[in-house]
Amino acid sequence: MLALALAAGLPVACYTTTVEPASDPEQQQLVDDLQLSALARSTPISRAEVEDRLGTPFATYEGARIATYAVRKVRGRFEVAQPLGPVSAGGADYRLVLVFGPDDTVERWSVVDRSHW
Amino acid sequence: MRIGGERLAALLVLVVALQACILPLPSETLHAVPEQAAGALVPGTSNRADVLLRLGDPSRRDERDSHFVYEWETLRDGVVLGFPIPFAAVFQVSCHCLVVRFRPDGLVADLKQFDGEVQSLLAPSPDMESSGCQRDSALSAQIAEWLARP
Repeated sequence: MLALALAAGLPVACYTTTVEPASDPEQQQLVDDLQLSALARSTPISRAEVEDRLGTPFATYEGARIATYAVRKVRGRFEVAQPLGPVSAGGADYRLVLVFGPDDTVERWSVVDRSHW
Repeated sequence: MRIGGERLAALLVLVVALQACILPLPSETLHAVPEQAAGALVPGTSNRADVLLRLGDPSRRDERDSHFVYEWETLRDGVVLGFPIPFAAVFQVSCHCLVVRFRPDGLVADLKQFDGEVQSLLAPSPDMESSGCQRDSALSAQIAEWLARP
């Protein structure tokens, strides 16, 4: 895919992308845009509330104790990207990772930025 | 041999046209896992959640999540043929993988980065359907051998 994009002559500048934690302002905007500001305030938020707002996770691990959502930025706003396949979500450069505790509320979370230049 | 005026003009047009048809590509790495991020994962201490919170979804996982593979590719020395209407690109590509292996209790057992050999690739081609890492059978064999270790 990447090579086909290259073949199309689209990139015109040298760049490198890495997988890194998102910056604090980016994390804040992402949870605000996804209506999950409670995460940033450490207010308990349940799995049902998360799924009500974001829908089905992109992937789950450890019997759904860990859930991830593929997120992309469109015209300056973050939105959940629909999965295109088992490991692919078109144009989704961010992952919201949620770890649920025994009471099924979010215990830990992070935003992974896969678009870092 | 003496070249006539018309042939010389045609040759000059050809040279100019060829120069306009070749565009060098930048070197590029997409979605590399930084050493710093991998270095923060401590075998015997970090668990599966720590890995996911730091690196996000892996490129590949097995059915029991006994290991994650994070893949990325580096492209260099590439040229696009046929600019501004491209029909092919030639470049050097190498695959890199960070493989994280988990213990049955979910803690990281060990992790290792694998770097594939540089391969020349012409795109588009039938091979383009698979990623560089899937094309690198030697690298896949190295990873499989490492994962098979007790």
